[in-house]
Amino acid sequence: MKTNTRIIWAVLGIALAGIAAACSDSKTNTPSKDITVGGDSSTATGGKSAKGGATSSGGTTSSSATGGTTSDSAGATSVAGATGVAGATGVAGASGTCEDTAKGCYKCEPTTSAQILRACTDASCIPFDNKTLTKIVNGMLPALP
Amino acid sequence: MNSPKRATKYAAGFAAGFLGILTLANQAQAADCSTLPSPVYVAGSSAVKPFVAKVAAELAGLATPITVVYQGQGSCTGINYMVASPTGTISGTGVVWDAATGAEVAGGCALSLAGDPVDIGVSDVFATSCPNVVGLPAGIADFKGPIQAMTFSVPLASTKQVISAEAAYLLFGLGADGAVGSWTDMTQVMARSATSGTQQMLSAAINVPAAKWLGKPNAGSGDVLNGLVAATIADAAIGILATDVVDKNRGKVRPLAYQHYGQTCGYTPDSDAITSFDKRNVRDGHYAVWGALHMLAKVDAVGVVANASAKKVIGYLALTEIPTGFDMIQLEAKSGVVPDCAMRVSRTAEVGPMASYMPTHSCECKFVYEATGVAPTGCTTCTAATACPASKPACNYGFCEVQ
Repeated sequence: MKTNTRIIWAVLGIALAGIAAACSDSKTNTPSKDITVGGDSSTATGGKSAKGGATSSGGTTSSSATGGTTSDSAGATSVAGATGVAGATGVAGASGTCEDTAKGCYKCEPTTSAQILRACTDASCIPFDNKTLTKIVNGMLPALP
Repeated sequence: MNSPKRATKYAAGFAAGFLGILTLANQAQAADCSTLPSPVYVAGSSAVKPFVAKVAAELAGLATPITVVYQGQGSCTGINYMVASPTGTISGTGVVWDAATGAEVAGGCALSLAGDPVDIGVSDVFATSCPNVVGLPAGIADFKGPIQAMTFSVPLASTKQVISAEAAYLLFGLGADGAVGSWTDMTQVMARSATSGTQQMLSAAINVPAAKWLGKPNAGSGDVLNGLVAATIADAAIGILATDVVDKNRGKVRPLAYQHYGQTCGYTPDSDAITSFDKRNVRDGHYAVWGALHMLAKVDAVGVVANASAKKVIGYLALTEIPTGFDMIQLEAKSGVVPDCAMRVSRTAEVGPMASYMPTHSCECKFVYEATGVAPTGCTTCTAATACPASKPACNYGFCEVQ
């Protein structure tokens, strides 16, 4: 009985490890360290939290924030909205399981523009902290003169 | 009392006359463009000039040479020539390149006084992105060439590494009032003009209409480059350039990583901004600001380019015709542009939504090999499809590809 349980646990462990490896797929965003971000001298430290945190900045810039202009960026910006887009295309479930919350990227095969932009990759990237932009108020870009 | 003034006037008059004579002499020395072998008149995007230069030198060296006569005046000017009825003409001096050295021929060639009709209008953007253009007239078609990416670039000495769409919106839309880091002196913020394809494409990305951009206007990409190089405070300077211009001048300028709306991290067009030329992030869609080169030409009733030489040039650039005298994919890889067959994403509108894409005749392995000198992992060489694995069964351009 004990032996059987051990075997079951061992099989489960191997299966889980396999799933984990398949999911990670060596696609990780690796922001460069010790870099100057935008106009300020803030430093990206590790990048994971920066990306997670930056979700808010993504959400800050909706099409309405730019005076109602509609473009791809508007769609892309509503990454929050991207869930809805995914839902609209019938892969809402996939959207839920495909989101790598730790790395802040989309880990499945991307099918929408928003997913392509946020697809997990092992390419290096450098986060820009939009919180340094003092003209963004309440998540809104000011209208152009 | 008036004599010093009069002397100055005479001196100025003499200088002007002398310059005029010099100009006429130069024009007299330049060959008549129409006498060059199979001239094809190309006008428009200045951003694409470094690429055009390389292609033109190769075309001039073919067994049956074709002479590209070029004027870089901005993408929308190229578009306007082709949507005009009759087709617009260029006059003055045409730029031509030497087949043997690849160098621009000093003095160029002399266009006819009445003007020579443009055969190919080249643009970095869709015709409808240009002011007052609602579509293409009958008899004009838009052929897609290689992919160009547009960048926010800085002097090599700058410590800046990244810009977001939001930051670019504030900088180019509000100027110094946007309060974007150390980019506050707008004489050091190098823009172009509303007729520039570079500015049009970036404006579509950041949601600032091209006509509303603030910053120092520049007539061409060369002027933006010169402005960045001349900057005395590197961190104060920023400009907009296409990747073919940046790649040719990596010792002087560097593209910033760009974080598009909805992204949480910024990417450069290549794997890195200093040593890599693989355009990896353009090809897979992580770098958002890219588009195909548009080549507008007159076509017959069945859509075939009317001018035979122009048809050949367009065929080579679109890779629908493979030149025998030179390697077009290699040339594109070395020129900072990406052939469509190396892309893994596509789009149909200016910086519009992207979709996953697998070209029918992929050249990803070949492109990366030519751009970096190393074939990417998983790419194997071949001489026939029979040598390729089931996962990559097609033998394209010497490498096994998915299809």
